[in-house]
Amino acid sequence: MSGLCTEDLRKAFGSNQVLNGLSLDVPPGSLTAVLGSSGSGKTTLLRLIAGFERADGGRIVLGDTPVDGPGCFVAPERRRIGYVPQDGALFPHLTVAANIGFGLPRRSRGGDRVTELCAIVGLTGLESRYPHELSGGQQQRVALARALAVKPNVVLMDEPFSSLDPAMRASVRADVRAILRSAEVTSVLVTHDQDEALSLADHVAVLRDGRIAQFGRPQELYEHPVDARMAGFLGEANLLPGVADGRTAQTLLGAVRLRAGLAVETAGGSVVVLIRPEQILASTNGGPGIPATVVDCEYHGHDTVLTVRPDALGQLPLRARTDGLDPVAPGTAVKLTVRGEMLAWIS
Amino acid sequence: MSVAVGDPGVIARHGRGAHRRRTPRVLAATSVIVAAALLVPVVFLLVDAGQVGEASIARLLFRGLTASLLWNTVRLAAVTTLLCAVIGTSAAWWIERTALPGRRAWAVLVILPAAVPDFVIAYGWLSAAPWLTGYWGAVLVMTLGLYPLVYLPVAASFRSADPGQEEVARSLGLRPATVFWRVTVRQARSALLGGCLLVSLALLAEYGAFEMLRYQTFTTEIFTEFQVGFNAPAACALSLVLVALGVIILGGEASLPDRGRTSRVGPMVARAGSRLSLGRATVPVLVALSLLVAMALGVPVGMITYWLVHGGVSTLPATTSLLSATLYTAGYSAAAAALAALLALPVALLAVRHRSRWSRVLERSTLLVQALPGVVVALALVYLGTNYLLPLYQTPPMLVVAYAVLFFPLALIAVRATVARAPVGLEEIARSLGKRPLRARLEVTLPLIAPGIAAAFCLVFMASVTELTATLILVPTGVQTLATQFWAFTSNVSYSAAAPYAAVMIALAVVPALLVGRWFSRNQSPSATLQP
Repeated sequence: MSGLCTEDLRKAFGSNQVLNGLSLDVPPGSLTAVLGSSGSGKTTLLRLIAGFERADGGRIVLGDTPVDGPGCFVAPERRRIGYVPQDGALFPHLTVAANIGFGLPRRSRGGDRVTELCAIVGLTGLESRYPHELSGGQQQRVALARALAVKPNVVLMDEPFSSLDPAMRASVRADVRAILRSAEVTSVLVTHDQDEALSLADHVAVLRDGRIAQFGRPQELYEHPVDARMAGFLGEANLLPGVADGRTAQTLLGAVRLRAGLAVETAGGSVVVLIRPEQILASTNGGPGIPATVVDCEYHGHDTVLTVRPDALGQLPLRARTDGLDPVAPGTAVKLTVRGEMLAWIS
Repeated sequence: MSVAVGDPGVIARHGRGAHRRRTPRVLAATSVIVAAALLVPVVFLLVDAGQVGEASIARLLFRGLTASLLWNTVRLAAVTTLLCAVIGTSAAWWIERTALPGRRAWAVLVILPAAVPDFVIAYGWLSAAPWLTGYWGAVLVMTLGLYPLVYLPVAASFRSADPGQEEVARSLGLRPATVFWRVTVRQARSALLGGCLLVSLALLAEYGAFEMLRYQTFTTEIFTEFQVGFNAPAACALSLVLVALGVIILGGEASLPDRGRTSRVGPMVARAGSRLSLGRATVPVLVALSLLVAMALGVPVGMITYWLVHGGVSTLPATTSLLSATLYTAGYSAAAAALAALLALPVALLAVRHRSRWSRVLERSTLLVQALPGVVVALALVYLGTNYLLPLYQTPPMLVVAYAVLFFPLALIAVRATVARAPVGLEEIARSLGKRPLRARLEVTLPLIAPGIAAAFCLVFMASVTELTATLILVPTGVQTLATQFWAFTSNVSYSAAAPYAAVMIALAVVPALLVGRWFSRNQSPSATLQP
């Protein structure tokens, strides 16, 4: 099992600088998600790691072996990297078994390894089918089995679940995670879906402006975004202007407690405070709090997200989460209270 | 016979188009050599013209004959192209989009005339109605011979068109006839234009049928000047006009904005549109199609059969001469088909996978050959042979090269369409699984584009078997092909002696025609594209 490391990776297409000094360290055996909006260079990063493109600058090291860098380039067929593209890209002229066995030496193509992989990805009995006879989820599994067949050092997955319908996505995701765990392989998954990144990966790297803006475990990223923009990118965020004094900040929602150890604690002054929707409680039963009116109600079943506008003039709408027992009609008067400690940055 | 496809349109997007790949030098170099080889005839036509001299060319061109030839060519091209467009589009719509009884049989029957050379259609009509000569005879025969060039691409386009657009138009309150004009025809626009382009280019190039129908065009006059009058300068001067006409037509089509592109949101789903019921129009449509097939296929095939049966034993040719002509024809055509398919491969790979301004220019320059009629290519090769390559003059290789050059665009169109459907991403996956570049190409891309190569072979083979003009000029000494022997007999009005040669020619061309028709119907339907 080997890790993967890129240092100061650069790649431009014409005048478009896609990767601009990207450094990423993927720990051996982990599943790392690279999260970025579309067009942020996620696919380019994977294609560089796989060796389909050559970097303009920087290095890629696989385990202990440099595979791309000044004066060094290892061809894709010698990198032992499994690549699972967005649509699976199965060979349309080959059966499931032939697709999975494609990278194996000729004599072992019909052997146990293919049967074993079919069993691992849950496709036993479909070996003689052709790709167009499979569902999207099944195609995705074949693509994964094909990549795993050659016992790769690293598996790269390019938005592997985006072409699946939402109902199937969750189950295929869970399967893929279990398969990768049991295969004990280092894997990198790129996605634009923050839910997917946070729920699936051991580590998340956020790709922004051609660099990794933040890297860490999902919980770290959600709870400690490096800046306000990151907070808005990972999960829903209410970003409120405020004035900080020690561990308290005055905002439109009154005084809120700040987390200990923030830079604003000593500096003070005008700040941006992050309040997650789940930290704002909207109560329909009166009581203390800031008076506000419900503008919109998104009922999700397991919870309800309200858009509320504080009654004081000139206020921006806020997002607040309720317990979801009953939908709330727009126009309902509520009282807002905040709970927990907040993050803040100097604005 | 030739076939055009609109832009393949659906280019699978593995590996994302935005990633530019470095152009491999070998591929680029091979493509440049192919393009240069294809343009040799043009170069030698110009060299030839240079030797004739400006003054004499001007003298040869500025005479009444040129004007009357121009008028003959243009009025024929305009009317015939229009008729082909109407007939081809209507037939395609009836067969692909309506609940016409016996559609499958009709789909085969209407493309079969493509396998019958135009001069055999002329032969059929003339032996049935000897008075049918001149302008209207030419219009009739050429329309019947060339409408499949419009039918094939338009039918393919109707088949792959998104039925959702028509349904949306209906839901917006448009009546079926309005939907046909405002949606259906627009969807097939680029296919229709491509078909019309081929029809007009074929009209410029045709010799045999016009000679039989005694209708004078540039091509017949060039041929006469060269073959009968041995007047090479006059032939060269007229060739310049002919090539200029071809280039004008080609340029005109290319300059039209390409609004035929389709855009789709979301995954493409293979879904057959509902077919329109013809209702009371069913019988008239069936009558119209029967009439079309009877005129285009029934008359020539019927007349050949008539002459075979009534010709009597004495006029039938010796079996040996028929056999040898068949073998020569099949051999030359197969060699040319293989050569053209081989040459098309690097150009198609370059054009699809390494899109850049210069790869487009290169591709366009190879398609310029479309504007070169057989007589011009043949004369250029005669000039090249007699002046520089005397040992090759009137040998099989020269004829094979002439066919390969003439029909290269057909091969390119067929190969290109499948290369566009064999995404480079698959080759990359194969490499990540440990295959070397060449192995990856052989194991993944080759099987995927094999149908396109086969289609290219069929198209060029079919076109070569039925080629007459260049064959008459370049046929190796002492050899008769099916076309030249047929021509020799019909020139002596030995219609019955000619019949067996026409029959074998059609038989040789019919199989590839059916294969190509099948390939078109499979390759253009959405279900055949690579989709998860």
